[in-house]
Amino acid sequence: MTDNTAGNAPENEIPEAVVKPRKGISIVWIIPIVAALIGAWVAYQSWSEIGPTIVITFGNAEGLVAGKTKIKYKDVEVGLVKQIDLEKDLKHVQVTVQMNKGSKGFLTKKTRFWVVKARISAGTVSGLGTLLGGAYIAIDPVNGGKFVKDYVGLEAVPIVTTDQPGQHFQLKASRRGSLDVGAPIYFRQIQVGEVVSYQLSEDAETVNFKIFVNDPHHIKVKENTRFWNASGLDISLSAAGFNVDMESIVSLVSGGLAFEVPPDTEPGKDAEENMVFTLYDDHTAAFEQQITLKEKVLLYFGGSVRGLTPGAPVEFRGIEIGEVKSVELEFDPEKQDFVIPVLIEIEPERMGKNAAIFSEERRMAILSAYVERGFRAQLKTGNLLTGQLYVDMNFYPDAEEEEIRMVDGYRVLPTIPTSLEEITKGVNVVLDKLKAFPFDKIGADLTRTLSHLDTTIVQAEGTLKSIDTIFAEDSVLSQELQKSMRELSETARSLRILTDYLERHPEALLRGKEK
Amino acid sequence: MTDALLTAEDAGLLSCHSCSLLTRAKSGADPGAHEEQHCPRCGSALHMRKPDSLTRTWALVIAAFLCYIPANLLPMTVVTSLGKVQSDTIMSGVIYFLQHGEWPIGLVILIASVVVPLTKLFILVYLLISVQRKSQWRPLERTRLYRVTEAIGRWSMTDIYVVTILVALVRLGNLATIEAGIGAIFFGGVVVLTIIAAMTFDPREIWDNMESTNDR
Repeated sequence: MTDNTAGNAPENEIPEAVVKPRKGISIVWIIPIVAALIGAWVAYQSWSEIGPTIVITFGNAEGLVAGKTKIKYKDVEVGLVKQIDLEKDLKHVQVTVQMNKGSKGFLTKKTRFWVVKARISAGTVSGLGTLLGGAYIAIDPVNGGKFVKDYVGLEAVPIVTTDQPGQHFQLKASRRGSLDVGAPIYFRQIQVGEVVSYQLSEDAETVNFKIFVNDPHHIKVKENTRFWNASGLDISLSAAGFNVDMESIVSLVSGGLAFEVPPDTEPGKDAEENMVFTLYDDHTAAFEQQITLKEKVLLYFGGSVRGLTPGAPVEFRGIEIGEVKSVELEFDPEKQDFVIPVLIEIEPERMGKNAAIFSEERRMAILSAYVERGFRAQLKTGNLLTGQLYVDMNFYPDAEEEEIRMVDGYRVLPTIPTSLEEITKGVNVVLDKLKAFPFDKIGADLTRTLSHLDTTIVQAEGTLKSIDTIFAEDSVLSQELQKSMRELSETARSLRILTDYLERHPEALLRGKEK
Repeated sequence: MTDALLTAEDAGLLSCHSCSLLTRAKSGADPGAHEEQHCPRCGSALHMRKPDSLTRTWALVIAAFLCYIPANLLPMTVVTSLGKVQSDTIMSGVIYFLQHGEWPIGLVILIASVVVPLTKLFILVYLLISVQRKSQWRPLERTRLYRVTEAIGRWSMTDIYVVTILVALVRLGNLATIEAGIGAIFFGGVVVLTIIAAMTFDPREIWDNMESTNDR
């Protein structure tokens, strides 16, 4: 850098040292270079961990904190909320999420996001960890498909995530009942699935349920499986008695479903994904409604139908063949009287498997023939305790002849009064006859007769007295009689002596008495 | 500014850094030379000026700047509490404390971790530039700035100490664990580098410029 002189060298031949400015860089520059290298490496590290940025739209940002809320899958962090903004129309919240590297593959169209918070419902308690750790956004990743940047977050926790093995099915029901999302599905009282969602059908005629049955139980769902609503407590009070049915305590609170293949049928093929089934109201309905043919018939009852409710059974010799549909009260202007039309539904198949094959005319002809032979309906008490009535059909050959009429498009089957009614009626008839009986007149007649009797008795006494005198001991008749009797016994003795003699001496008849 | 004063350099005198013995510089030897002169009493190396002062300080300051970027961007602490992992950078920690009303703590962290190191770095950069441009502007104030830099340098370590103490104290297993983040290493680097940079800088260089102009 500066002059470097070797001052004390007088000799000329000794060359002077060459002064060179110091070349190169000071070794101290290694420090910033190393710092820069480390910095660059760390920067690369963090940059390489950064994955795609996505935007999720939620209804609100409850529990979400920018820079803190995580995206988790199976409790593994896969992203972090970077920013939370309001949408321009102020209706939704846009959550910008920085996903980890390598997450692009499962950020597809079907991928779903939802906020996990503590959730306590009738059957389940979940997300308790979020009470302390704060909410997080859960992801249901779906592999395969194009990368999507914008998502709409679910407002509720989905029941079934894509990684759960099993199958979805659809159920059609006439009403929702107490079934809720997440309601359990039972197979032989073991929970095997859950209700995923429900909604009205497009025509609002039925409620469509979407259910999920877990692997391996989904193979228990066959094509001919029947689903029924096992919600709550099924207490039925019918003519058959008192019946309590319940699948489990959970289903008591939050509702539930059960399914089974009808016990007397062979299980069919395995049901396919999203196959549609009918949801029956209860277990009985599920297995009873295999009968398709139904015949509605009207019955007119004269007496009281107290205890007869819709749903009451219609029986034939103790076998249920149908049920009561409605009980009404009608005024018959012609007869100036009230009649009670009872609409019943008969399932002819229950009276013979062939019924379904027969044509309408054929069946009617049979029914007419039955009625001719005395086929009648009658109300009977099914349960003495509750007074429930049921309709009993049977043949009463002694019944008055009647025919099938048509009223309001329904056939009217003849009825006969209730047994009790009949007895009452009979007793009434007797009483009426008794009432008509002329007790007063009979009494008067009786008195008169008795007075006649009196005189007769007096006369009779006289007669008896005279008889008495006739037969008295000292009477002539008696003495004569005694005398005659004595004579008679004398005669008898001599006759005996004669016969004795003759026995010993039979020859005396010829020769005469010996001497 | 002042009349030409006799400086130690002009007089060819050297003062030992360790034992303050005043020695005569060997004639012919000069401040930038690589021949090492030693204190005859304690044997310490003697220099007229700190060798390579400007270059070394520049290198260290640049290294400190490079480290300062990741120190602020990367997490300083990683807190695991009940399974919830949260990493905080210096600024997020400061914002957290300020938002929660604990502004004294926030302020301390802000001053110790952001204001002090940055002030130091900028002062050093200014001093280096001013020396290289042979500025004659307020040498006394600039010397004071240098002394401030030297004095406050070590206080930046507070942050590192806080982190190390927390890491050692909060070891509650699953309940709560604090770990030092990679940012802490860089921040420590910044603090150490600036302290060394302040040491390598020779404040006498500030005054050398005054001399040379006076000579001319």
